[in-house]
Amino acid sequence: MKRKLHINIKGMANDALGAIRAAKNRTKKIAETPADDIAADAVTSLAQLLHPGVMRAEVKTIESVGPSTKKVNFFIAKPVYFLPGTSLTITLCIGESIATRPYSICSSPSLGKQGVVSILVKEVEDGFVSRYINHDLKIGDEVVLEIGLGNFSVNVIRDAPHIVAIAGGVGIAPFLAMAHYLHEQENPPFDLTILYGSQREKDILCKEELDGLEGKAVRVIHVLSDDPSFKGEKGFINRDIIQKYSPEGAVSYFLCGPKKMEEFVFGELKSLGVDIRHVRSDCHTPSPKLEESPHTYSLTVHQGESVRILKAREDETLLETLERAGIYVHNRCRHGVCGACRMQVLSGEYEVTGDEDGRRAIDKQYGYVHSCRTYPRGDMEIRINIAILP
Amino acid sequence: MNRFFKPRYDVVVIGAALAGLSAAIELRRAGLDVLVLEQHNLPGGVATSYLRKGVEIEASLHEMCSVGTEAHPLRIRQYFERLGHPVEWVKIPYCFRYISPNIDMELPCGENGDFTEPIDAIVKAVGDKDGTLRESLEDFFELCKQVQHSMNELSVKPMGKIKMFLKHRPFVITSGYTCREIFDFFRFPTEVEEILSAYWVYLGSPIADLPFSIYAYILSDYIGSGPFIPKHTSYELSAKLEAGAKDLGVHVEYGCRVDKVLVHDGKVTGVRLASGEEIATEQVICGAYPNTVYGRMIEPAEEVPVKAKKWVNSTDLGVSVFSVVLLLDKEAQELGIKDYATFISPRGLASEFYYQQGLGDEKWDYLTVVCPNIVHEDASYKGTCLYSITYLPHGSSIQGLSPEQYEEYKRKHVQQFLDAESKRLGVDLRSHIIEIIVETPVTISHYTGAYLGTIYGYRHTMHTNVAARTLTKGDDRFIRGLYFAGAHQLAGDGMAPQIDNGTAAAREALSDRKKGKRA
Repeated sequence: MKRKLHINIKGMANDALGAIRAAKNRTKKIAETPADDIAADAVTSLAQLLHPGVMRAEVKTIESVGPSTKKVNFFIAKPVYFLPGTSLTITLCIGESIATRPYSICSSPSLGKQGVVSILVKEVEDGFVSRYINHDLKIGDEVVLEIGLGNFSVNVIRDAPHIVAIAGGVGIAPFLAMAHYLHEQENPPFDLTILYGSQREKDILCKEELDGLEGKAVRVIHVLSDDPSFKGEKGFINRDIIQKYSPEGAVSYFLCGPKKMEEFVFGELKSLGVDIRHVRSDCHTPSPKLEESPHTYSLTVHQGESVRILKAREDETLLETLERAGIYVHNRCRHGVCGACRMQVLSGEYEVTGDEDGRRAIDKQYGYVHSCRTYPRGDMEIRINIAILP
Repeated sequence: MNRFFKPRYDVVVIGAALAGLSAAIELRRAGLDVLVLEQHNLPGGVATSYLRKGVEIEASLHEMCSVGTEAHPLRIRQYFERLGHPVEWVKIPYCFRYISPNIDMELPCGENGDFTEPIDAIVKAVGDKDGTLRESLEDFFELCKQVQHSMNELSVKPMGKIKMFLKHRPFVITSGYTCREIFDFFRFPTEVEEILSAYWVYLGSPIADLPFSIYAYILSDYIGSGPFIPKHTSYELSAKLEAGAKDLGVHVEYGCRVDKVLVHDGKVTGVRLASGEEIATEQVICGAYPNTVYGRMIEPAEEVPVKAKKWVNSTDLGVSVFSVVLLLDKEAQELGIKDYATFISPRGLASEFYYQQGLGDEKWDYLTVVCPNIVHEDASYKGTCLYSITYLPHGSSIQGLSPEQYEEYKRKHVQQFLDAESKRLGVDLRSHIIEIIVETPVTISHYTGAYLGTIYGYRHTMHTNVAARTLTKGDDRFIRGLYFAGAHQLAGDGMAPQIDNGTAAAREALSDRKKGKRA
């Protein structure tokens, strides 16, 4: 039963005509408003400045910075903004294939404002893209870049005021960017000690550049595993070396390098009693080696109204299969986390591998996968997004 | 060339958020060929989640109304059940805790429209010497309940003014008034006003401007049957709507940004994607704000009528969000966190003041904090908890910032929020952070394209009041075949209303098709 209400706010006539009064006021207000052009959206402009998306860039210079390692400088026709420690992805058309790879930016954010970003690329065995970049990429070539991937920059609220970076090989790249950044600051927001592991002195990448950045906020310690005549630290970056160069007080550890280095250093940090909260890593398990004679399955690919049937190798991810066929799929981290290459499995068996399954709970239930870490285990049918290279 | 799309669809929906998907579902149920185009690679807009350190984190939802229990289901629970993709709902055991210098209390929920428990709790907390408070609260909640019922009924069954006056008297006689005017009528003590009004800051208007109707609706819905959240974050709603839409045969395409709505002689003829591809259609339902659509999407721009510009310029936008989301290295109890949702107002009720603050960049001093682990122990892994601290600024408060100023703005406010909450909890939150995420109007704009990063539609004022908008229905239709579905529409902001907004836009499009055939 409805409770009887005795409501009389401002007299019956006023109350009864309230809605009509409001409607009249509305009509009047609209009529009286000037028909000026609608204001542009300044927040969206800022968002677009910070996140410009996939864009074209030109190869400006390519220099050798160590054994089979190149530093590639790109020029983008507009300023780009990123924090030191951030990565970019580069997308290349190689033969019939399209291939995207993430690389840490090794140059300063201040150069980014002039449209310049640089990466380090070491040629690896069977490395489809790293071989291409080291041998075939030329000055003046056009590539496709996307800036601003990852979560490997220092956050002064979350992290300790002193960062100890532990790097191996090309894993020095994000710390180079951080060192450049700190070198340019009048009041550096954190201190950085870089423990940089290489085999021999001649293997140290960007040595002069790195040593030249040492100063009030940056310290660089080279640790050589395979060079008995070296005057500095020798061996692996173990607990003794970490302890020796970690200052008193709170320290955050940032790791970038081969997965094997990460596993070893994790153990050493653990034995030192370092809180896991203060350890951040950007080391990833490499893709498994290709089989000699792999199983192949049929992969039916729906994209909008179009349907294609591809051959998919058991030892290649769905993403690699699509790229090999020259189908562009927007993707970024390539280790299963960011979800840019998410796609829907309509039928068929598959396996998700890798360090981390970054899928949402409901996506798992509904058969969505991050294709960069998904392998076919039978004939499959998938639906992918419509994506066009800029 | 056009191998991904059919050359023509009956209706194109721009945006695969809750409203757009609900519109597509309604249209498809009527047998139409519907294409939904979404610029992002996920459905849902702000109804989404993200993963950090393996933890799936809610992006926006605190609490949701119109769900109801299994025994007494309300329309949102029913909607997903009918769709064949029921949502796993988690009930929040009480509405919220409110803390101000005057009062600190947990407001319990009612049950199935019975307000005895919340009334008891308010009376107990405030005191009621002569017994008048209980009676006014009973009247007040009854009034809100009747307003809610009337609005539900009128949204599906329009009627003439006289019949409406006779059948829906409490709704009609309060619909011309602000909350302030109705509060004054009831003469509540300040503490009661605080409890009854502080939480609704997200409506973006001070109490003196806030239309009573929308307030009464939300209050009755929220307190009358209690809030819920989906177990797997609000992304569960988005993914399930999308799955339901696809089951029915709706085409949904991601990564496809619509740049232009093509118009000829005052009628929609199609859309053009950022890729340059054109798709023909006579009906377009937009999730984007009218500000964006009339401001830069209509092609040619000369097809935007003067009246549309006046209409858009007459609106005030609602609020956006500034949220600091923390993954902490201790369980909630260890940090002294006991509540799911807490509303903290260190200066007491000052909705005018909150509103003014939301427009500027100065120090902010009211916060909403949420700890999902309190109601859902798997919200993060063992030994950790999630904790979010939220303020609702106006998107315009950050316009004009350079990228460097924006970084500084974020850092400054994060610091402020962490200091305030650390002090209140007696714990140094900074020493427990495993991961920190900051969401701002820029974040909202980046992922959804929403005008000025606004998430709460248009500000609720007397001239955008439901009653005023209902009586002037159609005053916002300027181009034939162009419809809107989102928080900027009649049912307003919040997640549940988006299903109503989407369904209403679809029904309007269907009704126009019928009329078109007859003509």
